[in-house]
Amino acid sequence: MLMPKKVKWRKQQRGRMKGKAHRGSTLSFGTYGLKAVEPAWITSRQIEAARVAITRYVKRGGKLWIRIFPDKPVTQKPAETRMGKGKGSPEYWVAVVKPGRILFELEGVPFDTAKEAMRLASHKLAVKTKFIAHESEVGHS
Amino acid sequence: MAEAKIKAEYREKIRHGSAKVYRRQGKVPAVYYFHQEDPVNLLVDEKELRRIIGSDINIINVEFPDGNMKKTIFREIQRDPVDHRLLHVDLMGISLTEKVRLSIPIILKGTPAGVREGGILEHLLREVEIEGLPLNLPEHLEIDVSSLNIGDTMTLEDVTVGDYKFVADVHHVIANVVQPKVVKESVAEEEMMEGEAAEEGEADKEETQEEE
Repeated sequence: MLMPKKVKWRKQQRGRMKGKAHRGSTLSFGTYGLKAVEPAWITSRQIEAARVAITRYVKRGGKLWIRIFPDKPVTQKPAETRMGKGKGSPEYWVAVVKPGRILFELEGVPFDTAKEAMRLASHKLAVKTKFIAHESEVGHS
Repeated sequence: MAEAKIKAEYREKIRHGSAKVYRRQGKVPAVYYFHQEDPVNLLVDEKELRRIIGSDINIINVEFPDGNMKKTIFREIQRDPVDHRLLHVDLMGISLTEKVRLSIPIILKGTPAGVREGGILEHLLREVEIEGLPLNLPEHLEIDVSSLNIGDTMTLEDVTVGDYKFVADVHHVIANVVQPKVVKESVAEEEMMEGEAAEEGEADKEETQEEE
């Protein structure tokens, strides 16, 4: 699963997810992509599950790019713990996703295969998404 | 180089709120500028603009409300990151005797020999910036990739150019054909997938058995 090799600070504040993703909102590598249409925290497990779903569906063909990286640690307090005594311990990693962010890109597969692979991947993610294709491929749909 | 005409009207209100109102009415805020001229805030019809942007047209003749006609190119097109709606366009005036820089799309033609052998064609450079006199610039760049084998790359250096030059470094790779990676999934991945995606059920188990 994806996670940073080394971090400067072990725990982070939660922050807010205001606005839209102005960076990483266009296709940069592949012909097809999966775009988030709402804000969410995507966990490293979800990213991995989506990646496996895509690679299984496209089998040997195609090249996949993961455009998000889970670099934010999420802490949790142990169950049945009284409040106080400091912040909990880091449990998992998330990627902060804002609307418009491209999550995955795919190249080297037919339109229908890409669309189905992205549909399968979208079911592994806790965010509403839409399938997008490069302008040169839009007429194909 | 293909040309198109678009009617523009002056934009009186230039605040953010009024831009939203204009967009709801099907008009896109725009600005026209050219050297030694004051910039002019304009409004153009969204449907007409979408038609021009979707085509190969590079030179846009903007018809001003006072009857003046100006030759322009798109300097910047701003879009909404979520729904890809047009937000604003910069129309930069051009002179037919002055060189301009313009981004044109690269279109790949043919099926590479490497793809027939199982390789994957990667289209790495989809647009390229070129410089030349406006009437000498092509609408797009067509590149034949049918000779590419697995491991071959095509760079800007391999493209024959007309009366224009590339602004970018000529060593930029336009496309290459790569060998597909053989996916080997670890046992841990299999277990995780089965845990998280129970709906795949039997199909998954069959696959796992086959891989084992």
